[in-house]
Amino acid sequence: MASLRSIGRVVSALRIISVGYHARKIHTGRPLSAYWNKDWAPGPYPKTQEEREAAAKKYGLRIEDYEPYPDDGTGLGDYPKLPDISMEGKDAYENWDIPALKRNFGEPVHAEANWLREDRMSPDVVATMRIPIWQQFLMFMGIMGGTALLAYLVSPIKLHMAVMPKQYPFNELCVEKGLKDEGKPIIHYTFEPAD
Amino acid sequence: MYKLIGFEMCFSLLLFSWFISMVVMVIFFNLNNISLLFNWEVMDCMSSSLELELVMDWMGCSFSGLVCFISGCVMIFSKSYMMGDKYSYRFSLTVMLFVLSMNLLIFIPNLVTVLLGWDGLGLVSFCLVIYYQNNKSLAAGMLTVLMNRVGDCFILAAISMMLVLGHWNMLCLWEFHNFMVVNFFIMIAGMTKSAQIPFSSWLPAAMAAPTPVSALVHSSTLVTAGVFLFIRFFNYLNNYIWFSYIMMYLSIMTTIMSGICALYEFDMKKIIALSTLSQLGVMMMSLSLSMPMLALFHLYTHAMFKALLFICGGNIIHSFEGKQDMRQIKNVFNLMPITSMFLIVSKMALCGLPFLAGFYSKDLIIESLIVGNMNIVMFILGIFGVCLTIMYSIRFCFFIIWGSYNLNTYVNVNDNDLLVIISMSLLGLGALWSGYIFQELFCLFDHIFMMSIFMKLYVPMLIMSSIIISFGLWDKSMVYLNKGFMKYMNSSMWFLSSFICFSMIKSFMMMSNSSLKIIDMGWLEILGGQGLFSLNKLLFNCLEHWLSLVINCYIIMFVMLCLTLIYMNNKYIKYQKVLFM
Repeated sequence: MASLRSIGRVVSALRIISVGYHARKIHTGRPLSAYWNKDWAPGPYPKTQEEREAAAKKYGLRIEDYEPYPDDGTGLGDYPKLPDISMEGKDAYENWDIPALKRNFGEPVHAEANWLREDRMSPDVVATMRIPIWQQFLMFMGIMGGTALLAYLVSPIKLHMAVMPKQYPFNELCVEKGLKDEGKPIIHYTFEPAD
Repeated sequence: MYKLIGFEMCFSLLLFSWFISMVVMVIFFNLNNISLLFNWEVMDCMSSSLELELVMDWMGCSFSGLVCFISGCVMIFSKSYMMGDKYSYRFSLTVMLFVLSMNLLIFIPNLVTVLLGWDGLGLVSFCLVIYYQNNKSLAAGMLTVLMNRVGDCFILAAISMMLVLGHWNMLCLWEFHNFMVVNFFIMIAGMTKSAQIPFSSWLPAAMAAPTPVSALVHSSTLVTAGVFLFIRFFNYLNNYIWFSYIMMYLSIMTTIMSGICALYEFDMKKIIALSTLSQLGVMMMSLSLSMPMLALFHLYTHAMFKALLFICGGNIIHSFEGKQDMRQIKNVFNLMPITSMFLIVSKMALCGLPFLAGFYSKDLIIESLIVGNMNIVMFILGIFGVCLTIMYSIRFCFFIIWGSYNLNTYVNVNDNDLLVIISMSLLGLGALWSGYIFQELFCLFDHIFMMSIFMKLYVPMLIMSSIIISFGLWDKSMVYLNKGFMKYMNSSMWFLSSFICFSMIKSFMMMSNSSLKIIDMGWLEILGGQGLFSLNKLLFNCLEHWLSLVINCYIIMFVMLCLTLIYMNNKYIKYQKVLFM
């Protein structure tokens, strides 16, 4: 039985050699070297300085620029923690190798690249705004709230457009109100039957 | 016929024929003072019946006719505008789907089945906004569809609350204990569709769509859906005083915000979109003044001159090789005289100059504002919002029509596209006469206000003074109000679009991202995909091991059997030889 298994191993090894398969170095700088999704998985978290240097070299980064994600069990391993620069924040007029994605060939992709696209989030643009978001919100609320408060405070004052002069029963009251004295009582209405 | 005149013209003929039939229907309903309600019960469950209803009344038929008339004109325009487009047939079909959704919204008075039209508008508008298929369009489309989706959610919530009534026909509701909440939900839904504060940011962003779509979406269809829903629900909404207060405040603030933003904006299409927002505020103001028919009247007249304005703007953009920045478009008055004529007509109608279309509706709304016994602050702000319309309209004309052209050395701008001229002429007639015709045709649009001569002359004086101020404000240098913090704040709609888009979307995005990592790529992977794979792998490894053992047994047995047979065969042959020897 053991001999049969050893024969099987030899046959499979021969078949692999015949199609030219060999263990590949996997990193984003050489995208064509990986076929399967498992091949794209990052390596283990680098613990020593040598491992960090090796990981930095693997991802085409300088050791000064290389910083892995914290080893908190999220499975990012030795993948580099790149700055949060969105596609929106990159210069549209730079001579990119892939202009549609605003990136160069071999450049490591951000781990959160799925939401750093032009149609999603741009935290770098937000961070460099002239006025922080919370101040913008306060200004908007200030305008809206201030107007509402003003309207509430002056709510007793209504815009009343009278189309007839005000009616007063006696001339004294007319004079008191600064109107012209007609010399006789004004009868605006009466309950007596009309003649 | 299809090959002779093209599918756009076929669609436009279809729409014009529908428009004519609707005109006949409106006259019939008006003369006989009747409405028809078709009711088909789809299913009945636990005393709640789901029905597909169609209502044919003068309001729906007139609105549908108007939508189809404008769509027909837009379709003629799109034949010219989308001429070089590879997928113009798909585009036309999508526009027709949009018109169908709008008609469903108009004719269906049931809150459940009206979602066919309501959601259809949101979905198809998304498809149209992202028509050019780039990241910017997609971002604008996402903003549009998500903001509209907020309204859809509120409609769904209202539907669920109305389950206690047993039906969802919005023409015959009655009060129940949560009816106020339902009305509040309907109000929010209408505000999202009509882009009132704080849901205004999607409307300028939706300008990423092709210009014919903008002409349709921002004149008579998508943005007016909210106003139309309010008009359908007005009898219920008007029972609550808070509706008037909230809508009055928000509509006036929307008018002012969009007007001020239009004063600082340089994108031509965005200015027209902001003017739409401003006029939507005016319609909502009319609703808050308990004048739903005036709101409908202004909706009709506004649809006419705004569609014309968009088509003129689209023609200019097309002629100037896709430029939309007003600083790069100058001297249209000399280069494109017909377009500039229609543009000025539509702008005059927008400003409410007598006796164009906008005058008849806008004048009545301002007069109702005057006689409405209003809060003095709200009155002043409302009048200021109306004045802003005139100011940004004159700025627009200063830049585009009368500005001297000094950028390109060679231009080949002309005004001889017959299709565009036809569509502009049809809508131009509407911008000139629709106000008068509607007022004469529908007695409900003919309001009478008693006021002194001074107050009557208040509106024309207001318009004239705004024109004078604008001419003084926008001189040739065009640098007034264009510097500093105020420009930054006002050009971004008081930061509304900024903090709505960045802060709110960021929090949801982060939440989605963490849930993606923890749930989708975490626990679901362990309990689902990868975990099941590992479990299956373990099981099948065991099985494979046992199977390999069994196979080995089979092989050994087979070999032993073969050897036995060979042995027996040899024995038999030897036996035969011995027997026959």
